[in-house]
Amino acid sequence: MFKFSFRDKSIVVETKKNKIEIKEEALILSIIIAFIIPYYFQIIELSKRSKQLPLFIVFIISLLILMRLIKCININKETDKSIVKSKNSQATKEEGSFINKFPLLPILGLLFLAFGVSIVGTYISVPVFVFLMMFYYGLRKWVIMILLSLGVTLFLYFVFKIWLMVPLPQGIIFG
Amino acid sequence: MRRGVLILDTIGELIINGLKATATINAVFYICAGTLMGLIVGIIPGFQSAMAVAILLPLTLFMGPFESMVFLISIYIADIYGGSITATIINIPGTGASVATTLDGYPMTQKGECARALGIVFGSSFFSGIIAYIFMLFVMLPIARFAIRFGPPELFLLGIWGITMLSSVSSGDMRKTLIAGLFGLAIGSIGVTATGEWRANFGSLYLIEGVNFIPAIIGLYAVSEVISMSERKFIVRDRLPEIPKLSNVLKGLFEPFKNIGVFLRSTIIGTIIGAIPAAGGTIGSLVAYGDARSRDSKPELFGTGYAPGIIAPESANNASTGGALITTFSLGIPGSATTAVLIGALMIQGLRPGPQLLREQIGLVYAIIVAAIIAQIFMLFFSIIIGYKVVGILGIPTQILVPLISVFCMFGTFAIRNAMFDVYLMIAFGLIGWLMKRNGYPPVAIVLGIVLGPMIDSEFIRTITLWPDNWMITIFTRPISIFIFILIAISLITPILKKRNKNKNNITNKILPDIDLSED
Repeated sequence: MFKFSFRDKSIVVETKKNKIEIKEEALILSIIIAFIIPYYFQIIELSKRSKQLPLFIVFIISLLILMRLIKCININKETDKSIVKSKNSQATKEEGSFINKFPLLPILGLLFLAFGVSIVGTYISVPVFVFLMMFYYGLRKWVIMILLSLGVTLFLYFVFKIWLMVPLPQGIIFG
Repeated sequence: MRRGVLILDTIGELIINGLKATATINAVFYICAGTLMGLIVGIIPGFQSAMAVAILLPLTLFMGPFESMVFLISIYIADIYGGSITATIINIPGTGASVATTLDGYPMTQKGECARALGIVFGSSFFSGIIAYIFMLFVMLPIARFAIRFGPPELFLLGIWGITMLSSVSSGDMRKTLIAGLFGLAIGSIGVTATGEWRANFGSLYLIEGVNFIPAIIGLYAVSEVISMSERKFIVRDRLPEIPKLSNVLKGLFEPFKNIGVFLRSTIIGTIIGAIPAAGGTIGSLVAYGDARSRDSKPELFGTGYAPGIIAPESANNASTGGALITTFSLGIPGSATTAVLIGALMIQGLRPGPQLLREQIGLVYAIIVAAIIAQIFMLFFSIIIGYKVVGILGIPTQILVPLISVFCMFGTFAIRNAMFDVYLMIAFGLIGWLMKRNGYPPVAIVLGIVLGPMIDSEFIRTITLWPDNWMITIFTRPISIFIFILIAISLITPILKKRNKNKNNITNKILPDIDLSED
């Protein structure tokens, strides 16, 4: 029934009758909408003075988002195949030049680090995180990897615990 | 005339006494220690000068009032130098005041002119700091008197003026910039209102105080930059970049004088905005950037690694520290968390900042200002050395940098209030910042909204509370409000007029390219 494909920063959904292209920009606008809708319901119950400016912001931003969303979604617009081809060949060239890794890995890594710190504490999570990230990105110099992993942990200990006196999370297990 | 001469004589005497106080081993030691700490704090993302100053405050118990203030103020000023180094080299501003520097500093690094960019940063900061602090010596009281006249209507309009700078940070679709800026304003409005109500905290106790702008800056810039870095072998290019030359750094130091108009205007803007309570280096640097762009004959070059785009924010952010200290010393009003701690430091020494301090301890105040001027020389020296070393980051593969910067970002954010909530917020902003950069939405617009949102909102509420029946008339009839309103109108109209002129010239050139209009 539906066929999905990915082009340069857009998703194309093909049905029997229609071809819908949704640009990546729609994702950002969706995130903002996902914030603005509950934000609106939170501010609507406030006193007149407190909600005047936020309501104005919600009104203007909703209009602008609507205008942009209309531009992000193209239905049955003919794509220039030659442009798509040249973009694809450019992507191939770029793949050869860059380290072509999963770009959102740092985000996932940070989430796992935050989770790990809450469970097993800083002094175990941080060296493991640093080591695994460097390994994933292709570094194979084991001595450097171990030294850096331990070095960062020591740095955090001396700067945060000793100098700034900020207690580092010990985790549920060791806390 | 005689009175003027007498005042100058008195100020001259105070300056000489200040120089004598600074020319001691103790003072030089504390200036150097404070400068180095401030630079390190500024370079590491997530670390704030307020944190360092607050933690080192107990040490000042063992120092005299002059040494303690010189030490803490050196940290305060050097923090901005440090934040600008990372803003220029790796697009990660270490402080809010360095956000505007990323707009042209990092593009200049990407063009392979990292050394020149750093030189411009250091030169602009150094010379503007010298001018602003010398200015402080002679006009501290009039500026303080002017700053105290800013009431809620003026502060509200000042925030609006800051928002109009969105037009200067937009290099593409203005609607995208507006969406980002309004999104930032909405986020900035989260928290306790001026009427004491909890607004949009979504049931979370962590959001009662609002969204701290440090997780937002670290997420939007550092984390999103880390994601982008992970797609490259090195920070700037796909191959090892050439090592920048120190001679290029030194050449860049004097570039502010090639754009003397931008430099002087930005210094004045930074000093005055820094003196206004609740405003600060972030607002000052963005306003100065917007002003420079709107007046430049080639505004389209801003954002591409253009020297005035670095000179303007860097001159303003360092000058704003001088302005902030004017209100701190002369009125006892802190303009930021750091200056609030500085007031605490004075009170520990048994001194009370404000008019009383100027009456009874004018010698001490002037000695501190003179020491801050001398400290600029040490800051320049250490910045060049440390900055030049930090440039070495460009040669480190991203395989190593990505995990290290991620860890520093996380713990720098965590250290704000020991809450993992801030870390999750930082990660969310990181994802949003990365998506925005890919689709032409400038993250600086969100930062502007988050920084200015609380000020605009609270001052608006105060205005309509104080003048419930005629707040609109009040806003547009007070003298300072009228002046700020004219500035807003100028900053909105100037880009439109310039664009119209440019289009007119383009049309003229197309229609009449070959006709010789000279008279025979």
